[in-house]
Amino acid sequence: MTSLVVYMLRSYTLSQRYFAPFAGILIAVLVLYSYTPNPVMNSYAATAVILFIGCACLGLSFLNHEHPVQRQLTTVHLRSIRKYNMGCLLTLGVLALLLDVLIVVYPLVTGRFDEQAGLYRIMLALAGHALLGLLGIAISLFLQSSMIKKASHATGIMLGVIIVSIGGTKITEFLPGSLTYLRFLLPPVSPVMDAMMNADVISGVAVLVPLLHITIYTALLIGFYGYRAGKRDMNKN
Amino acid sequence: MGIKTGKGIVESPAEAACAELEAVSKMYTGHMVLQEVSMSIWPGNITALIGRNGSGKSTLLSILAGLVQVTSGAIRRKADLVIGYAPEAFPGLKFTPEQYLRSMGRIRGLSAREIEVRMAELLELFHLAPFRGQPMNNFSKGMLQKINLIQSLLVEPELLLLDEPMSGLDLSAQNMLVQLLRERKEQGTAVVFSVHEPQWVEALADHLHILQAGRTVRMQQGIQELSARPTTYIVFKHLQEEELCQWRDQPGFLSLQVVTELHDQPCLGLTVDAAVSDAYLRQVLERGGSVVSVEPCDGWSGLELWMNPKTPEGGGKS
Repeated sequence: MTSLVVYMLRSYTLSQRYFAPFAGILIAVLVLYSYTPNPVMNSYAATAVILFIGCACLGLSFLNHEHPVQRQLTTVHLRSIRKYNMGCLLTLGVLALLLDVLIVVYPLVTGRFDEQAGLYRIMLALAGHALLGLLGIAISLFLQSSMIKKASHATGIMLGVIIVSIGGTKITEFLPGSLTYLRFLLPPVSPVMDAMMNADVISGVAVLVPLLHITIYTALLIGFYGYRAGKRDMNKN
Repeated sequence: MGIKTGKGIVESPAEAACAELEAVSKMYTGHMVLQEVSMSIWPGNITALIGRNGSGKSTLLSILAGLVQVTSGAIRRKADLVIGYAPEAFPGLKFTPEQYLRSMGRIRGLSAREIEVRMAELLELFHLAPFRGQPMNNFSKGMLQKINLIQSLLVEPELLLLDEPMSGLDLSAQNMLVQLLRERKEQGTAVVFSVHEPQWVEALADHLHILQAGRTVRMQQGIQELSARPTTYIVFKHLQEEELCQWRDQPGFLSLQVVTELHDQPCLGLTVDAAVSDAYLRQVLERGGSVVSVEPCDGWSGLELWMNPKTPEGGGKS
C-alpha cells in the first residue's frame, strides 16, 4: 500500500492539479493571520472550516487527476479495485493530515495568537482540523468524474453542500419542530465549528459530542462509498 | 486449484484452465454489449478475439482483467492468477517510462532488483532505452503502445490480455511482438488478444473467438483447420433459431445467429462447411425458410468479413 500511496502522490504532483486547492488553503490561512494578535480557538475554528472547503476541492482534483486507463492499469497491477480505492483514500488522508499539522502549527511558531494555546487547545485544534478535512474528502468522493460525469455539475453540488454544511445550525433553526432531526443529514461542519469556537467555555462532553458526530458521519460516508465503489466498473472512459 | 468466482454463480474447479467465462452478459445503461459469451482460456494457448468495432471485444478483455463486473453469468479464474493487461490506447502520462514502470513494479510487489532487470530488458527489446528518462507526454502513438506492452509484461503473466496490440507499432516492432508472444506461449502464458488484421491471427492464434454485436458467432479450435476449410454463409428468414437447435450437432455446422442489423425483418445467419452447404440449403427450404443470400467464404478471406468489412452489408451478415 505504501508504494501505491507514493505512486499516487507522485502522479498527483506531476499533474500539477494540486496547485489551486493548496494555494487556496494557504492564501486563506495567511490572510486570516495577517493581523495579530488573534484569539486561539476562534482562529482555529475558522482555519478548520477553510481546511474543510480546501479538502473538498483537493479531493475532487485528486480523484479526477488520473486518466481512466492509467487507473485501470494501476488496478490490474494491484489486482483489486478495493485496494485501489483504499489507496486513493489513504493518499488523500495523508494530504489532509499534512495540511492539518501545517495549519495548526503555523500560528504557534509565528506567534500569531494573543495568548499561549496550551496542549488541550492544540490537541482539539488538530482533531477538529483533521475531522473537518476528512469530511471534505469524504464529500468529494461522491462528486468525482466517475460518479458525476459533468465537472460543472460536480462543482455546483460541491458548493451547495459546502454552503449547507457551514450554515447547518442556522438552517435547522428554520425547520419546523417535527423536521429538526433532518439536521443529522447535513454534514456536521457548523456544530464542530461552534464547539471549537466555544471550547474555552463549554464542557469537555459538549466538545466531544460534535466531534463524535462528525467522526460517525464521515465514517458512514466513506463506508458507503467503499461499498459502492467496490461494485462499480473501472471503465476506460 | 482454487477458483475465484465472478458473479457468485458457480464454485467449481476449472481443471487446468486459467479462466473461464460461462454465459457472461454485460449491460451498459440499458444496452447489452455482451450476451451469453462463454470461453475457456488454457495455459500456453493464444486466443484471437475478432469482431467489428463495438462488437464487445474490449469489454470482454476488461471483464477478464477484473475491471468490469458482469451483469449475469459466471467468471472463474485460477486463484492468484497473474494477469498482464494492455488496453487499446495508453495515455501520454507526465511520468518518464522509468518512473512509471518502477512504480507499477513496486505496486506489483517486485523487488527493486527485479524491476531494474526486467525494465532494462524490455526497454532494450522495444528499442526504448534511449527514451527511458523522457516524459511520456511527448511520445508518439507507437512509443506509447510499446510502453503499454512493456507494463503488461513487467511481471511474467500467466494470462496476458492485449487489446489491439499491433496498433501503432511499426513492422519490426510487430514482428518482434509476434516472436515475444510465441516465446511467452512456449513458457505457458495464456494470451487473449483482439485484432483486426488476419495475418496476426494466422501468425499467432490457436483459437478464434468471433464476436458480433456482443454475441459469439463462431468459436474455432485450431486455426489451420479454419484456413484450410472454405465455408458458406447463408442468410435466411421465416425460421426461428430455436427450431434449428439440432443443427448444432450436425456435421459441417459452424455457427447460427440472429441477424437483424440490415434486414427489414429478423433473419438467421448460418455458417457451414462449404462441402455440406447444399444439404443445409435444402433443409432451410424444406422447413419453409426463404433464402436471402448465400456467400462462399474461403478460409482467411472469410475472416476478413468479421474483422474489417469491405461493405456495410458484409458486417451485417453476422
